[in-house]
Amino acid sequence: MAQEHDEEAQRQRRLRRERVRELFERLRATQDISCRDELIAMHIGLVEYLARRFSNRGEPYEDLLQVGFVGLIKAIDRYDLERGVEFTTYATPTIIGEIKRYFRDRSWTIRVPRRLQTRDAQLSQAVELLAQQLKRTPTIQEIADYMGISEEETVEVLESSHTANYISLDGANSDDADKGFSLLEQLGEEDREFFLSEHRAAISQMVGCLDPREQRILFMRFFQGMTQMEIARELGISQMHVSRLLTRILLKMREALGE
Amino acid sequence: MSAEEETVRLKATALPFYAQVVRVAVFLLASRLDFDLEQVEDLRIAVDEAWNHAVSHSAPQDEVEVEIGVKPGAMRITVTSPIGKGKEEPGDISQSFSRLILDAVCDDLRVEHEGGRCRITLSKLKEGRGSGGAGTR
Repeated sequence: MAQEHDEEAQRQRRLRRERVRELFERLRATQDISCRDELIAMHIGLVEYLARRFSNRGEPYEDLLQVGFVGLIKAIDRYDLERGVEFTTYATPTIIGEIKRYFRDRSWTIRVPRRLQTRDAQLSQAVELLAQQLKRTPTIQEIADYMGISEEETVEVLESSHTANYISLDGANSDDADKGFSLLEQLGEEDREFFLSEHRAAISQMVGCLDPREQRILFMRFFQGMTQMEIARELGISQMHVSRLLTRILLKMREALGE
Repeated sequence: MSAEEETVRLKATALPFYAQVVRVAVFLLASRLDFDLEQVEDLRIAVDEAWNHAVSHSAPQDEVEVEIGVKPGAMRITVTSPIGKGKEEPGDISQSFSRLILDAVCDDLRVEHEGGRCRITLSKLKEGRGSGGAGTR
């Protein structure tokens, strides 16, 4: 009984594969849109399955389904019968890629064009690499030359890189040895120079809104006068990340000041 | 670029958003001066602080004027803002948090209040503080 069932299932799968092949051949030969529609209908289950796998990450299942269908359509349009791979094997990474891209895009608070988001990652890499090669911080022109883009475009990427909503570093670095760090404790004698003693309460309030790592960065940059690159090395993160964190720190402090 | 200072002037409504427009102009000019990324990032912070200070005492319909002066190895940024009707005189920046930040990222800083206007002039040198290159910090 079980063997009969297996044989029937195999037969169904074979028929399905043949039908898919037939539809693709007809689609390529005639551009008949009904073939495309039938192929989409035949793979609804695959899209649903993949969308469900990503559905517990905070985005509505329906949205993921829609994005998944975009991936499926792309896969149908690009699939090459001659490659000899099954369509589902080909389509699965395309659909997952589309869903993942959707998550990536959604993690930006302000809509930044995809072109710039990709460039942002390339820029971070370029800065790190050039800094190592040159043994100093690169200039915008050097970054532009390295990336093969214009100076204007590099500036555009630099500017847009600060609009992203980045996940706090602290979650990823819970082993931070300086958890108990307090900026006020570190101010020591130097604070007289900055009239901070008179503003201790205000500063304390501002610093209180920062987490230990942010306090440490603030101290290193503005009290110890370390460069972003030096802080990056000290904390084992990229210079671009230090730059973004500084922007966030100052924003937080301004908010705390009520400015 | 000639040895004489060349200038770019921008006027924008006193709203936080326009800091972005100023930043882009500053970045491009800084690149022309061959400033390194570290110095460009310092300028980002400086422009944000100066703009924020200007906007804080201006009315939303007021205009803030930014003059960027460039000459080989040096950039000067002057942000002039009116003190808006019904707005308080800007606080004494000399003892403020903004001053601390600006001091840390600029090579020179001057703040003047006169005739109902506030003017912040800051400068950044290629071979000045915060340079990531060749130990010039």
